[in-house]
Amino acid sequence: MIAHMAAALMASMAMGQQMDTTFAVSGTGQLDLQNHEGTVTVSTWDRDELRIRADWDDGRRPVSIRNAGSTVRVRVAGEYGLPRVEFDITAPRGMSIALQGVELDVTIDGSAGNIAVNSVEGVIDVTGGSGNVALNAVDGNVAVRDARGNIAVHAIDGDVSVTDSRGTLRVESVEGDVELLNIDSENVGVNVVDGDVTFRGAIHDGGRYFMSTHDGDLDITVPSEANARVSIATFDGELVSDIPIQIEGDFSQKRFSFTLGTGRALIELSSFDGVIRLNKSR
Amino acid sequence: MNENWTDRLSEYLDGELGRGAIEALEARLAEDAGLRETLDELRAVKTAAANCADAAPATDLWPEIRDRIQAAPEASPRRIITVTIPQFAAAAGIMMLLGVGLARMGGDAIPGSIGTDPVAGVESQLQPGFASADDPVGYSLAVEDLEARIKAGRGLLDAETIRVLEHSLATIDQAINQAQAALELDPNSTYLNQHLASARARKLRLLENATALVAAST
Repeated sequence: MIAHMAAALMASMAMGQQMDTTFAVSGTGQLDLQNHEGTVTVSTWDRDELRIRADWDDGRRPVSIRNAGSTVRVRVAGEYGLPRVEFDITAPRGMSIALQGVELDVTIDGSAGNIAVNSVEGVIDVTGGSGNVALNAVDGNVAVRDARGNIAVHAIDGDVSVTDSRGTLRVESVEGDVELLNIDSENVGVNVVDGDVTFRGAIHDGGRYFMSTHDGDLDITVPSEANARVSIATFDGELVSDIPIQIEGDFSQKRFSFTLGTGRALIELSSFDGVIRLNKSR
Repeated sequence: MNENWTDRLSEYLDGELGRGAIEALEARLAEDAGLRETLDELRAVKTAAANCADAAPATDLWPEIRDRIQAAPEASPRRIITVTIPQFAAAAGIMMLLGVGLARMGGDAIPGSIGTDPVAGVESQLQPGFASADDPVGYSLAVEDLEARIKAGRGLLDAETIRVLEHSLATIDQAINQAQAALELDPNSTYLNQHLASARARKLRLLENATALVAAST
């Protein structure tokens, strides 16, 4: 079905600087929204309908909505530059959500679909998401909770926090701390240039866990029953462990390894000049 | 048995071996003088190939590399490239020029991702190849090309965005400089080689991100 915004939809919009429209969509379709400046808040419901509310300062309505197939495209345009628009959206729980903006704060709550967010300047705060959750921020903090699937966070200048999440996890940041708490994953990759990394989560047999920072500390807490081959590398840092370990390799070369339990998982930790702390969860 | 190890040396130099294989091979190298000698010979071949690469018109390659990166299927598995010893010399120069692009093609995208391009380049940077750290040629050309594009489009970006990007680039450059200085002290360190390659790959991705922002602003 290809249908442009219907006349009924036009009629439902409030006059002036607001619009509020609700229309039927595929519960597993995709919302593709671009908003140069403003906010996007997405909540979900168990209905195959999409509600879009938008506020802007003045002038003609800058928001266009195009429903093509299973994808709803929302765009912002203006005669004299792109206006700031605040979106408040309620989407089907399983709908995929793709948001993009320059100065854009994003909040998504309760999604069970794919999520992709790109924001140059702004905070990204996501609760939920399933399948692929990909969040990119140039300047702003990123927080994810209760996500499932392939989770990838790419931040340039900002802190990253992922909590209570499960699945493949990739986090990359240039400047900012990374905090991963209550993570259930068989595949974790973290790379930070200037920032600390904190990890608390499960270590699965056969899992792979890579965490690296150049200028920062690693604070890694693993279950007491973890079975892992642990590799440590540093240039001018140190290892502090509250787990009894028997080092294999040349400690003086700052590259060594040791085995926890049966060694079924692989943990690689590296910090160029920071402290690597290995803790056992209580 | 020794032949099996010999066959893996080129993969080792290209950074194509997994962590376990690297550790096993390095352990073997510590014991086997003949194997070390073969490795040294291969390194010499690689260095010669790198010198030959200086004469290539490499500046024209980057757009094609970028196109190939962008055209890569989303769920493409990490590409394993095995080069036999006789092929090594001929391929080394090309491999080094393409190293960054191939690494990116190998494992960037999240399968089935939607809409906008999700988090490019995360995985490739976690297990970088040795060749990137040893190869200033392709890397420098790519950096120069991307920096020129950003410079040309600088006026299109918000001042705060420029500030963040420049500050982050400076942070990465500092990390690269520190890794290079450390490598001078310990040139055989696997970790430092990987760390330098990782930092360089990170810089490339940041420059690509910035280039994409410029393109999106036009």
